[in-house]
Amino acid sequence: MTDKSLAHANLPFSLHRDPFGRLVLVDHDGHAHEGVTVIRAFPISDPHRMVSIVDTAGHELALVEDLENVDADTRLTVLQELARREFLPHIQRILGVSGRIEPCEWRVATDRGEHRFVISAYEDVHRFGQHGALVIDGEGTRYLIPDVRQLDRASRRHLERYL
Amino acid sequence: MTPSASDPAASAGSLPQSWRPPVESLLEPGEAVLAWFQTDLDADLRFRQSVVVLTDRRLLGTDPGGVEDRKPDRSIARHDGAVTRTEQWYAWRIAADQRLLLSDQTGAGTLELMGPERRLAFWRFTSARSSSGGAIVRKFESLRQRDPEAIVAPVGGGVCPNCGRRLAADETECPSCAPAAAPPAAKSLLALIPFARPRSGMILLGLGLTMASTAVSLLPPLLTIPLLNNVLIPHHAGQPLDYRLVAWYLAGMAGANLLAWLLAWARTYVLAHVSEQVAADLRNRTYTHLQRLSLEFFGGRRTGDLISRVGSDSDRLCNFLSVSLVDFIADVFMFIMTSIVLLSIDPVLAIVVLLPLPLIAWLIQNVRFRLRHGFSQGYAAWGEMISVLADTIPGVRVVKAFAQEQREIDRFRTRNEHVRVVNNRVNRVWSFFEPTITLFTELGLLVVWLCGAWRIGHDSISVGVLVAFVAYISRFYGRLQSMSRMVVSTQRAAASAHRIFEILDRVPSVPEPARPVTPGRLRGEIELCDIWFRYGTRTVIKGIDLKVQPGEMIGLVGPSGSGKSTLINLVCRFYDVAQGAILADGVDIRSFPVSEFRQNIGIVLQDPFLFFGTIAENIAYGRPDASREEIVAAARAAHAHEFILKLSDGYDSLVGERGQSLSGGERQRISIARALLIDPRILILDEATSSVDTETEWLIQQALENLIRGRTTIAIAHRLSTLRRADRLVVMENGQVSEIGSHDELLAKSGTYTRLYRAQLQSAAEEDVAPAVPEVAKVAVVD
Repeated sequence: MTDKSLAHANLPFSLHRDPFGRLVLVDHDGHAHEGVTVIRAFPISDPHRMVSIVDTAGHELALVEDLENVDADTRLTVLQELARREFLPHIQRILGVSGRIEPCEWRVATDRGEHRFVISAYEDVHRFGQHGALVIDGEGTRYLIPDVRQLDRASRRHLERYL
Repeated sequence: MTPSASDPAASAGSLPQSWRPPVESLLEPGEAVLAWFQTDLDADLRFRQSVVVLTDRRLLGTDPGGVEDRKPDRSIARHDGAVTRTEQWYAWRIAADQRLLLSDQTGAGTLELMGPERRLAFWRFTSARSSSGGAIVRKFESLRQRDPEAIVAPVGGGVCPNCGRRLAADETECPSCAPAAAPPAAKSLLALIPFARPRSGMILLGLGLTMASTAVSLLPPLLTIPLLNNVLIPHHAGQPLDYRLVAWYLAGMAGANLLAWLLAWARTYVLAHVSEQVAADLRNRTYTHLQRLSLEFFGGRRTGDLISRVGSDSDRLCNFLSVSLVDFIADVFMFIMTSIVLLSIDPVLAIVVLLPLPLIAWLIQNVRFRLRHGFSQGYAAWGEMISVLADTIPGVRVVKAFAQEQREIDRFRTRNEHVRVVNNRVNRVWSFFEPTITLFTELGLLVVWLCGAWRIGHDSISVGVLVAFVAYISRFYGRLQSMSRMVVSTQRAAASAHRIFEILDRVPSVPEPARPVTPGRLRGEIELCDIWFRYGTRTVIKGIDLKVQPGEMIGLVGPSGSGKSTLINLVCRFYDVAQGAILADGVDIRSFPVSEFRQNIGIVLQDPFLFFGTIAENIAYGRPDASREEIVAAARAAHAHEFILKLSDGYDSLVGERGQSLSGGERQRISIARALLIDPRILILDEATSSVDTETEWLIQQALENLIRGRTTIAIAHRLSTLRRADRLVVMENGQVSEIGSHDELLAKSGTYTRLYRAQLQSAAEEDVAPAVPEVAKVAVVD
């Protein structure tokens, strides 16, 4: 499977969206694959390189090594699809924490609006990279704080205990 | 039509409160709500509540995506708590050529309504909601196919319209879909009070003794006043020394000291005794609670961390209660009483002594915050350093195999350096703090001498009073110093209390039912009704339906990661399904008390765990009251009897950690005997033969034959030969059942099973291990 996908990687293909909202990949043979998914291989450490396009069964159809190297239309479609798929709210402020002991409820302002969620354990707040933090709520949804130093004092105080 | 279908208002009653008025206002006469699904994101993935409601003729929904080409049907304001928002409602008549699709991507899922030519609408939601979307999709599917069953509204029919859970007769709201109660507020050291309450008598006695011993210890300095004023100073002035009076005063001082010593002894013993009991209660409660928590909790924890919480943290608390707290209380008494004594002897001098107090209090308060912050940082740094150890010591073989010792040493060194730096910061504060208090003490003493000398010069007080004051003041400030040390130990104890209450406050995720049904001895019928389950955001079981007859043996087959083990964990109720229900003898297993249900289940795992103890104890683990005859009978049926007799102490041989080592096959047969002894109605075999060689497998097979007979059995096996007795084979792929049937039926289908079977035949032939191949081949001939 690996060999095959690597062989696919550099072949030309085109991407478009059909009326059903599905992403369709037409490969170099003119064969259309409906409902393909776009996945970043390194979503955090290197988001703009190694973007894989897989079919409904999860087999790789194409691997875009660098989004800079594909035509503008494909790049736009890929980026739109990624925006549609990826759900990683960035926490901008921590408005309140219900207690110092887990499980506790956090009230946060994110780039996707205000939200409340429950942290079920101390270990669900991690240091992430040099200055960031990753928070995982009781339902498994992840929230990113790209740079803890950018938060206001009150938010930082809530986080302090975890980092 | 059910009665509810004729009464729209009643059928909307299953909806969450705030959605009822808008939905009721939209329903046509006679229209009934069949299912609903609440989403929590809008089309641009911003947080926003929406709802999709399926009725017997229409799909209604608020604020969907993909509807740019049409106007909303209605716009209705909704009140949710204090918030009022206006929602755009859209409605679609259900047609046979429509489809409702639910897909779950990492992080956010989509519910799509597809028309014949294009997508009509979509809704987005977080993974928190995804597992409850199955019901509306299934209802929609049967409705558009005009399946008569679909017309039956689930409302009042005992099934939650949101998640598909069977409801108890008197439950109107599904307990798992009801909004979760807010998590409890943080607890501190005050949370220990309930643990202290049963011992309040002893605690009061301890406090009484504290007060008495403190009061008595204040007597000796008081006696120095008359000793100086009546005896020593007059002698200095030329009068003869009154030896009788001297003897009296000294005897008084000695007596007071002796009494204070006795009382302090009693006090320390009583309070230490109480706090030891409180700590023991706390340990018991923590461990009891720990055992009640489900596997989910243990899955996310490090063993070492849990052990240290039950062990060291409760010990640290005990130390705090028995030493620091007792000292602190004694200090406070001493402080108050000394102040009273000083004030009664000479108010002016007393006020001079008490003058630096506010300054010291301010200093303590100031330092307290820095210390707390420093300590918590220190603990975190320490934890990170320990986690390097926890990572690399068990994985030391990998480290050495890849020659990465130096990298791990560097990693540890970095963390260790971090610990040093953080602790150093605390030490800087701390090292400044103690000498500063000492300085204040000395300065206070200086001021007392100064003021005292001045007042003696004016004949306001006697020399005796001044000497008594100096004697008191060193105690006074000494207490202050130890009280400030209390600040540190309180912060440490609070951190420990936090770690213990973190366990105690955890609600088991496999909850005991509010109205339990006693399962008694089950017949062993198992029914899985559209069950869903996910770990985090990954859905691993996607809508499985399966009915197992009493006494039937089911073999679960499928590639690894297909959800076989998860399915078994759900049947055992190690986890609860996210949606749907598992019924045993027609009753939702969530209505049984967990332990009574599990008494009906026997489990044989891939790598059986033996506890430290004798073989007999290990076999009787599930039924400690079993007689020796029963144990031997079980061992015999499990083909374990003979090898047990070969051990030096027979059934009394010690096994488990520190005990005699047994081979994989031997341990497996002991665990089969263990399962046989409890005589379960439902038997779970999870890869029971995969870790042993083929010859041992044959022995285990023989043992299993006896175990399976007459019991409902669900078995997972990679080696298909293990499943040759199975009545039906269930092939799982990707969290779903792909094929069901007997060995022959599945071979005839030439699907996944055929592929797995061929692959095994081939690898067995290549291995050239004879027994496994004929086993499998025989099945083909016999069946």
